[in-house]
Amino acid sequence: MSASRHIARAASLTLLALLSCSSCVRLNWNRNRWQTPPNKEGSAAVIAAGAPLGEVLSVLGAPVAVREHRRDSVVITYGWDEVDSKGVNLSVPVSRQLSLSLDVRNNRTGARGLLLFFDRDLRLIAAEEGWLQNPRDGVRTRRPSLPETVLSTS
Amino acid sequence: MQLRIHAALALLLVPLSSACLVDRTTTNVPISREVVGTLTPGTTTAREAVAALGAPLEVVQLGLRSAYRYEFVVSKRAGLVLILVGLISRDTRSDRAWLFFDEEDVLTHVAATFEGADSQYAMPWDKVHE
Repeated sequence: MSASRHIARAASLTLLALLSCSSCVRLNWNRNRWQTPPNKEGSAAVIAAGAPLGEVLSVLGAPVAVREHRRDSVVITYGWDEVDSKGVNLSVPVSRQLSLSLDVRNNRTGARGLLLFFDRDLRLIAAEEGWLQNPRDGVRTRRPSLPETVLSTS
Repeated sequence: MQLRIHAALALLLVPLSSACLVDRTTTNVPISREVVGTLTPGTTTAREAVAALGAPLEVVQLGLRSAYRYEFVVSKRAGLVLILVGLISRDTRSDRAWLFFDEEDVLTHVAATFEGADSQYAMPWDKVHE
């Protein structure tokens, strides 16, 4: 038997061995994309101009969140994310009832976000870009309260 | 002859050793671009907006003002699970509309983004939305 046939046979056996222990090691590559970032030039322009809410919405579109910020002020949030997660999963059967597994991966939760703050006249006064733990919140929200008419009669 | 047997065995292993997945998830009903286009700031009331678009997903109090959120989310996932390698990619986009009302419940601003249809099936290495 020639050397090349020996190599081919060894490679085949190795491949079969790998296939037969398929539950032992697995490489995972996951990518999760969520929404799209707002237009960079558009956001830079409206931020620089201190644009009113209507103009900001027409340039950047609908935000993912709108919240009240302080009294009568508004903050709108544009959120987006792209998570690239790679990892290794190792699973070793110890007995009929027991199997040990180890999962190692780079992972994170949350999203990128652009927060735009408006004053009570709905004119843009500040902007902040950063990391959002919860894209729907953006900033600390006010606690829900009863309407004043209900409070005054109770 | 032996080579043919090996090839046949290898072919038999292929369907056992791999799987692929494709799934599409939607949340809520699509937002009508035409209906959103009929809403007129300064004229349309909250009652008329709700009659046209249905119940909002969220109502946010903004002092005396308010904002209503409508959203239709499309998420597409594609994956290839091989014996030693798992490849999965998810792409989530949405149609969103925010309606802002003043203290008299009259519409002041409308913001709409329609990206739900842009959601794509892709592999992790694919560059989408660029």
